[in-house]
Amino acid sequence: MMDDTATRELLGAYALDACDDDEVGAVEALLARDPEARREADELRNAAALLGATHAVLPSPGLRDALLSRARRVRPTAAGGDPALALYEFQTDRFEALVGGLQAEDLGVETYNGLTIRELVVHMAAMESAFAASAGVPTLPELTTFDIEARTRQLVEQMRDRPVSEARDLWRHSVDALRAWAAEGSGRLELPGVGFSMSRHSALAARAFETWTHDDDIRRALGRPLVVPPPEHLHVMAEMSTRSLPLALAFKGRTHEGKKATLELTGDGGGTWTVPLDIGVDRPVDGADPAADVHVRLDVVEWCRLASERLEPAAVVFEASGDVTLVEDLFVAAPAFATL
Amino acid sequence: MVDPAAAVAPTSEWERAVRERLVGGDEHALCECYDQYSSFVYGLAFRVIGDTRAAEDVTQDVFLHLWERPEAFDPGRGVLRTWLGTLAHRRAVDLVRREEARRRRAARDAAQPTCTPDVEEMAFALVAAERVRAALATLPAEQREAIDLAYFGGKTYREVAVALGIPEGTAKSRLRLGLRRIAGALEAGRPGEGR
Repeated sequence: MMDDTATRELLGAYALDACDDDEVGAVEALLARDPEARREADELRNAAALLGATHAVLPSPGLRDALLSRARRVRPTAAGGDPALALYEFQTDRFEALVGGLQAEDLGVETYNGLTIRELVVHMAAMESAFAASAGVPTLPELTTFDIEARTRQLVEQMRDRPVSEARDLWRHSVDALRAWAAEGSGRLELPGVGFSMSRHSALAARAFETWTHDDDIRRALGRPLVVPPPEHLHVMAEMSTRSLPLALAFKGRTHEGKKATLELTGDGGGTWTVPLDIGVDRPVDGADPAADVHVRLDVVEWCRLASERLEPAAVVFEASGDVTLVEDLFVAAPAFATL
Repeated sequence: MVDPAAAVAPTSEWERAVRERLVGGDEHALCECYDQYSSFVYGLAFRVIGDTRAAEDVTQDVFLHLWERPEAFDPGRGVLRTWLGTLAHRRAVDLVRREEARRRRAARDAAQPTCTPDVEEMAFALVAAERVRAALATLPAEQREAIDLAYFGGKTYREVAVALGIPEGTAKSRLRLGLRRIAGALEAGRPGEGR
């Protein structure tokens, strides 16, 4: 029988799974009655798991399907809540309706990024088909480049004399392919032009975000009022752009080691996240943190428009407290992934 | 002095929500967890076992366990990464401690898998790897060696003691002190300055 001091000596070995079975029993009995020991054990476990993170390797692609079929056998799955797919379906249906209602004289009007409305629809077909191809459901196999601008130019050239409804159909065909892929609950997207892969959730949210952005572009070009997505959809996009901030800061060379920011996005669909200003062992978390170096408060729609490069950092209306010099870097980094 | 409670990263709303969805039988929730953490779980299992097939079995078992008993993950005690990693490591070590699995190690170098981790895990893993390595580098060599033998070698502290020719009590305290230093260095965010 060990005393508590001797058992505490085992906490390191316990966290590394390096105890004998009877000792594991003694440690777990101690943890059940001693909160201090339990905190230390949790801390050491966390450190041990980080040791393991130094060797991340993707398993073979077939493992995911094998896991899912086993999962379905051991426990029935329930349909239902799939916020990213619902968001993607909603935004793509709305974009289709908008494009379907365009008049011939609308098509040559220039939009925010310099493309005409017609070219923008073609650009969407180029983008959607790139994602569909990445998901393993190619819809425009003749387009071989995954450089976004080159791909768009190639398809604009190819569609030069075709009616815009054909470009819309090409786009819709890819949307349907992506939706079917997503409905199967399947895997990841390997993005050939970008060199990394995205989870299903991130890919759908990113596509929905761009669809909303270009929907707005067309409305803006035609002098129509802009439309704000429903709160639950805004929330998914706001969260995605917020959680990717550490990577965005690294991408833009604007990291601040050891610092963090609380972002309070106000209005329906908003939320509050605290984000490290560097990619490191800390990850974005929900909620405000009083220890954050800066607290920034702004409207969730403004944030999304900033993240989609439709609002200049200097034009953002916000309130901030703490180290307000960090705000500029946050706002410059926010649109780092706007082209995805 | 590092506050041990603060060193356990807070659990995100996503983790709480995904747990709820798993409890409700939402298959997409399982997919999200798998997409986020499979490279971590598999990489850890592979590092310990040294065999792709066995590492895949462990990976499947870990995620099936999460699917069958999501209530067992307690967000109040730590992040999902730690929970999955703990499960994966235990199973991997159980396997390694069986003689049969030891023999598989011979095949380790013959079958190094090469894949790209997903973007979030990759960024995390790269930075974590760098910081953990830096933290490891500040440890006295004898602590580093003990941790490596125990965690990646799957040895018990008694076996570590034999392998290093030291008393068992010394092995225990090297593991604990070394791990505490790593936790402290990571918490401080600046390896080498913890504690």
